[in-house]
Amino acid sequence: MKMIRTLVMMMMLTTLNEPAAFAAAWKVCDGVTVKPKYQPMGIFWDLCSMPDGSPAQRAFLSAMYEVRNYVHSLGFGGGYKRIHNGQCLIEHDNDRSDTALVNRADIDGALGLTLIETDCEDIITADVMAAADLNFTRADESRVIRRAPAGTTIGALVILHEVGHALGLEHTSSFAVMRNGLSARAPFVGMSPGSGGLSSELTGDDVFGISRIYGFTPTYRNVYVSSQTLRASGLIDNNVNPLNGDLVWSDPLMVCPGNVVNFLATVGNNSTTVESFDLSVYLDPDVNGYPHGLADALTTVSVSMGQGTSSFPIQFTVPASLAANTTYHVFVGTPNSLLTDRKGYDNTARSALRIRRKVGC
Amino acid sequence: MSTLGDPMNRHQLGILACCIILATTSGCRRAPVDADTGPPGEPQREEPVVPAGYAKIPPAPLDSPTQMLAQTATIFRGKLKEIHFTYDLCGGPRTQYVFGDSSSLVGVAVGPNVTLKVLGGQTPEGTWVSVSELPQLALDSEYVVFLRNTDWTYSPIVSNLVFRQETVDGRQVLVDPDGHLVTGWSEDGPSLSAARVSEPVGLQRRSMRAVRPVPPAQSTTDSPNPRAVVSAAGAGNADQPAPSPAVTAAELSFTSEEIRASGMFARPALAEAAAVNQQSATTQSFVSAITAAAERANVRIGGRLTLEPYWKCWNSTPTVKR
Repeated sequence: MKMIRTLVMMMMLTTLNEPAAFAAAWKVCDGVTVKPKYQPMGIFWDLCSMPDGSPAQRAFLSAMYEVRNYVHSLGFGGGYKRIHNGQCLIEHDNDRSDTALVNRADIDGALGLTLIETDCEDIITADVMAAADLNFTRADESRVIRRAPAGTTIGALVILHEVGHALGLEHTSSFAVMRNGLSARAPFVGMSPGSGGLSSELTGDDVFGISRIYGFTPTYRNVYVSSQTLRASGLIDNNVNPLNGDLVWSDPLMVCPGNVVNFLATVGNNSTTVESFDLSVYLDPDVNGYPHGLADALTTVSVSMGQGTSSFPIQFTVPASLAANTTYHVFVGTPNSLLTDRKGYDNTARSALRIRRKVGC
Repeated sequence: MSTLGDPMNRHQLGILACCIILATTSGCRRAPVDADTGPPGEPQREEPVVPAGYAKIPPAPLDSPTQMLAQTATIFRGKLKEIHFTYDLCGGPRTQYVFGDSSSLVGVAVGPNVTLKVLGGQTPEGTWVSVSELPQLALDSEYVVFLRNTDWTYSPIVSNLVFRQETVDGRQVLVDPDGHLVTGWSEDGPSLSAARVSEPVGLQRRSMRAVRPVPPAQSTTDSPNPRAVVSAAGAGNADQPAPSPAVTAAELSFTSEEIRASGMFARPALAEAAAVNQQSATTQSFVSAITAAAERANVRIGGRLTLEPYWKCWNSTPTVKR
């Protein structure tokens, strides 16, 4: 945004170095963490429900690549078709790990299910199923999904969650892909349009769990930005006033130049390396207005954090250049490219907060 | 002119042969579109045997509290007294949770003993099947359980709506399967405490080989082998290896002591210090909140309670053709 050029306010947020509260969980049998026996455990995909080039197949492959950024315990099996009397099937007693989209009625109405066969400490096979009526394209990262009727863009997140189970992860109550589906589902992260990303990624808590299961120190350095925050046991969107009990702002929030707007920022770090970076707030009327540089920043804070996800209050002053009759999306992102960051496309998130100039000011 | 004796040619042929082998054995090989991929004359896949005239009710999405309550036949309270494992071709490996002292809190009345046949358990091969989104329950614990009024394959419990009753500082509390205190019922379903007060059930376990005493080694000389010796025709009287015994029901089953010793269904410790100052719901206040929510949503808790997995057999799931 060329019209918005205001003073950059620098703040040092050293408090983010506090250790994050991890809640990732995994099973242990006879003192050994439960994980695939023969690694990489190849997972095949059903070409009836996930044909080549389909969003669902892309979501599955994306989930596999995401997991393999951290650990190579799962592998690409290949496409398959198992047809019996004209009906495509995923078989659960065939000593193979498969993925398929199925009717919700066939998974008891759930969004996804994974059948896991173990010999206690070893996962032998894992069949991942996701509800076929979901949308598997890029999700709108600005809002947490509370309901998932047919067509909801939560399919990629469901597949990544279920693949996480195939990896050995159990449910967590933290800010993570492995959050239980009840009461405000798993969070999205920012994802630049056109990047190929689907707004679903493993978070610091997920990677912490993986590193404990497989016994390594996560060195894949990735910083991410999200528009959701964990409150009590649920996720909320960041369009709230943290100075007033997380009161949800109206949409759009009517403002005058010079007004100060408080809301929430959420950042995460997947590696155990302490990352230091700038985080800025900027406005853009374009829903796809990612990313902007430092010159457009209304506020910039310096962040330094270890592994995990942190949320904190952030504020900006409405610029005089705010055009009338225009609704602006509020973005939070890293204005500078981070040389050590493996995925730059998850460094800016469009928040749920939108502002509009009040008539008469 | 090159010949087969030419080393270069042999190399090329080798590569070609490898390519052919890879192409014919690769998992990426495509089956002909819409052609059955099983053996010729493959029998019909099994279907659950249901009572005559039985009309199946399909499970519907469980996206909202309203949908959850609309698919609830009963909310009952009971004590988990026993756990059994069963296996059959259609039902698959099942963990049978046997509740005693049961009574209905709202909805369809239940008898004093209620058995929930949840998918998961031991297969005849000795492996274990578990289902990712289904919680494990703790033996000797009191539970508040929501049961479906639709048919089902995996579990008769509605979503994850099963809560362990605990006592903290003389106060009754409910704990969700992930270990959070239940604080009420909201527009997102059960509202929960921020912090966990307990671990989920079953994260730490011991294998059955670790808890089952090793039988004494059989002598190879002392006593005669009670198994009949099977001889192949025309093989004379030479000793043949005894056939591998099938997995018997006895080997599939575990004693109550073995199940307890495995820790799979052990009640996790409650962090009373974390729970004591937390706001929480009692069973009564929780059920009252649910009843009020159901009334507001014009939903009736009730309908047909089905305790058998009649929807489909476990071993395959139809996929959706796109």
